[in-house]
Amino acid sequence: MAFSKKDILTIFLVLLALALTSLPVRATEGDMLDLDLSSLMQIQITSAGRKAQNLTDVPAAVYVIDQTSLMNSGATSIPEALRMVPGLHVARISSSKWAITSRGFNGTFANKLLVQIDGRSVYTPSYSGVYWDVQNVVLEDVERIEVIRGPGATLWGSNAVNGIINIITKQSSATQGGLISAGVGNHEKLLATARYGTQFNKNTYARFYVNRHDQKAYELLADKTDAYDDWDMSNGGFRLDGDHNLTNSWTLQGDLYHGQNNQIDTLWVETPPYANSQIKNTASTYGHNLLARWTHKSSEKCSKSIQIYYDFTTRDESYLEQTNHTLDIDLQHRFQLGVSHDIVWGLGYRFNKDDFTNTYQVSVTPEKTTTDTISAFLQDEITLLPNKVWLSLGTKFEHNEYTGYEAQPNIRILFKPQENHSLWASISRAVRTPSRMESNGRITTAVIPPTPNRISIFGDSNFDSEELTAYEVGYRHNPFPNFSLDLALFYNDYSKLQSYSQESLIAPIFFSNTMEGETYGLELIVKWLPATWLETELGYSYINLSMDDDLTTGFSPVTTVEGSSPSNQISCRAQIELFENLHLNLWGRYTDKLTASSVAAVQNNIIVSDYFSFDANIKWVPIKGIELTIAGQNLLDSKHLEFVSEQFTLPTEIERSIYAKLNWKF
Amino acid sequence: MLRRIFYILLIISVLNCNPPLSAAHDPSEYNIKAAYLYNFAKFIHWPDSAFNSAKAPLVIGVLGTNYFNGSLQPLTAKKVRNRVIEIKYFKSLAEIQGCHLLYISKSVKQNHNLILKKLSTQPILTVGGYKDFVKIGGIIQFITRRDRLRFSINLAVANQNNIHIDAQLLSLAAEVVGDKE
Repeated sequence: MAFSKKDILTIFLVLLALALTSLPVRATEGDMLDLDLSSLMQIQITSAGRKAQNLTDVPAAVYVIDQTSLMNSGATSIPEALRMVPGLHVARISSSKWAITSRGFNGTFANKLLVQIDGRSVYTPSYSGVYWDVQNVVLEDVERIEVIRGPGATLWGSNAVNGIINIITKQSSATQGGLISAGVGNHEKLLATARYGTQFNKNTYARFYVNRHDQKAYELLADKTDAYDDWDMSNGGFRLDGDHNLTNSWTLQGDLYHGQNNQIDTLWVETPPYANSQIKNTASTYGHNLLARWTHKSSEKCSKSIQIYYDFTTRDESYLEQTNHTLDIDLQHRFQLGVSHDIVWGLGYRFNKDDFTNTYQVSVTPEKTTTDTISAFLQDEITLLPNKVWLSLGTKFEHNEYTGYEAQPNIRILFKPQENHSLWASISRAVRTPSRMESNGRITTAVIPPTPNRISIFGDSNFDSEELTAYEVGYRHNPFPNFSLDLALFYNDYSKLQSYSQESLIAPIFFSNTMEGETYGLELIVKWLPATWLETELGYSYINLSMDDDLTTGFSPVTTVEGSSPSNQISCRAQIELFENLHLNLWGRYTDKLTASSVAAVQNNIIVSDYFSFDANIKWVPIKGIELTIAGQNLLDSKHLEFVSEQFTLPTEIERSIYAKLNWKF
Repeated sequence: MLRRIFYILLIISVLNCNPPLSAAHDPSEYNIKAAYLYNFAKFIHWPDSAFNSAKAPLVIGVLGTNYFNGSLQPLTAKKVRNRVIEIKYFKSLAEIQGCHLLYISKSVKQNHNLILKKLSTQPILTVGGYKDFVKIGGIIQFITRRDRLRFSINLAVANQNNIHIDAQLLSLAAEVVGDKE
């Protein structure tokens, strides 16, 4: 007996209906009555609210990657997940190196983006930037990643010039029980996580984790040989969260990591032939941190908190060994004044002690130093018309040892003509303070035989902060519960940007503040949930940069600043629930070309072509607690170039990656 | 052929459904509250005078809109210290009679003061879920903390109403107010 297609379809539909009706195995009320009080106190109430809603009440360009989007993205690291954020340019330099920026100025040492993990800054003061390889957060434990494009200096402080990324991990009360996760693929040599969450007493929760990430090497652009950039990272840590009475809560958390990155560094050396020797070496990274926070919250709009953390990092590479100790203390107080003033103010103190071991290629003099930074901020959100118009005024004052006092004020206005429309505008000032390298560093850029004459870029103690005045407007609209739109436009006016002055071709080069320029652009995010099983999101960003340099002699980074950002970027994602236990996620991206990603790219005439990339993954939950993921990244081409590093790293192509991963929650 | 395989795969995946991906099958807040009320009853001692006889039922009442739906019904199959449990739904304050544990619904919170004034000094354990319930004279208030349902207790009012709360219940409270230091 043969079945026709129609028969099969009918049988299928009948089975489907049967399966669906027999589905929910709900714990009966009777079962629950047998639980004792301490068990009842463990049950999590989840408020499922699936709405296509952007943040509507924030007068800034904010994008949030929530846990669902993060898990559905197929990303195996924070940088990969950040590719979904409009306005950010995420470019992979090699297996372990990333260039990530917001609204322009990308580079290995991109310095205008501040990044924090649970309130701890991971911005490195030695060169102003973020070492992404050591920020190996357990993605399953991330609650959300908040990304603010544009200045956030008033609240967050210096260096939040073009944006701030806040990675917020879940409270340990939300990660109770065990998680074991293991993955493997053609590029992902090993993805392994073990986490256990427990409750110490009725008011104290804890979790502990260990994590390991091994990645294989890519290939060099030039000759398709092994790029020798395989690397591994091991980390572990804990988080405790507790409550005291109804109004006080506290957190104590700490992490420890150690990584080993193979890399080929192209360096200038002291002995003939001097030039660009390619040295294979293993960079070693190590760090640990401890953070404590106490919050007293008497109401939604009245709270006090104190946070203290200590952070230690060390990084030993062929061209430099650097160590940083940071101690940071932050106080914050929020309260209502009258009916219309919502005030937040705070005080901060940061102590940094560094230590470098110099090489011929890179040196810092003196090798050791300590710096103190003191800051205070005040922000007042004024309700001008209840539920309609809000005005926010604020400023940060900071004293640092390089440039003295810095003030970073902003003014923001939010207008909600109707519940589902909001318009905002802002003017703000932000500065990027000098790094240790710009003040005291020396980087060898050429050695000319026979003497030999060594040409270097020297730090200048007079190097000043880079300054930005940013003008932004935004519009958000939520016409239907399943549709939302978020548009942000910006015009940024920069002055005193980093450039390089040089008297003659063989004279020393100094960091100088001679460049200025402007950028403008827009970011658009559209979310649409056409059906209960389908969630889609479109992100588009455009940026134009034009720089100008007063430099009379020397070389100016005008070309590379203008040429290192893609003019257009598109990200298009679909999260499809095929069945309740079978999800399909698709993600396509377009990144425009980079005409001059760095000086090295210009010298070697390498243009990073525009590229389409496509990621897809399927998640299957065969039984409760087990989730199997098969994911592919960069599926459209076998490999492509995303960025050419300024120095040290040879152009490396990013390959297609396919991996399988199993998550077991118990 | 491919299509057939696709269907078979689909059917397998559906039959295997046991989905932790969504939170749709989590117990509702009121199921948990019902279980809490039953547990409260176990840890509360009412004076003998609160019962007509040694066999008289323990009465759990709901005042105002009943958000429990059917969640309280299974309690009637349970016993607390040899007393059967009886559930009563009261629409108004005047109807309250012979009740030992009263859940005051948020629908009547505007009459809060009036209700508590009438109930004060009566051996009734008042339970509520709205803001400041214990601060303004209720005995046990449900609170949500860290996505979990917890409770706080006003011991002073319990004493005043001649209700004895077991130390174990007090120790599990998120906060005890009105405790004599």
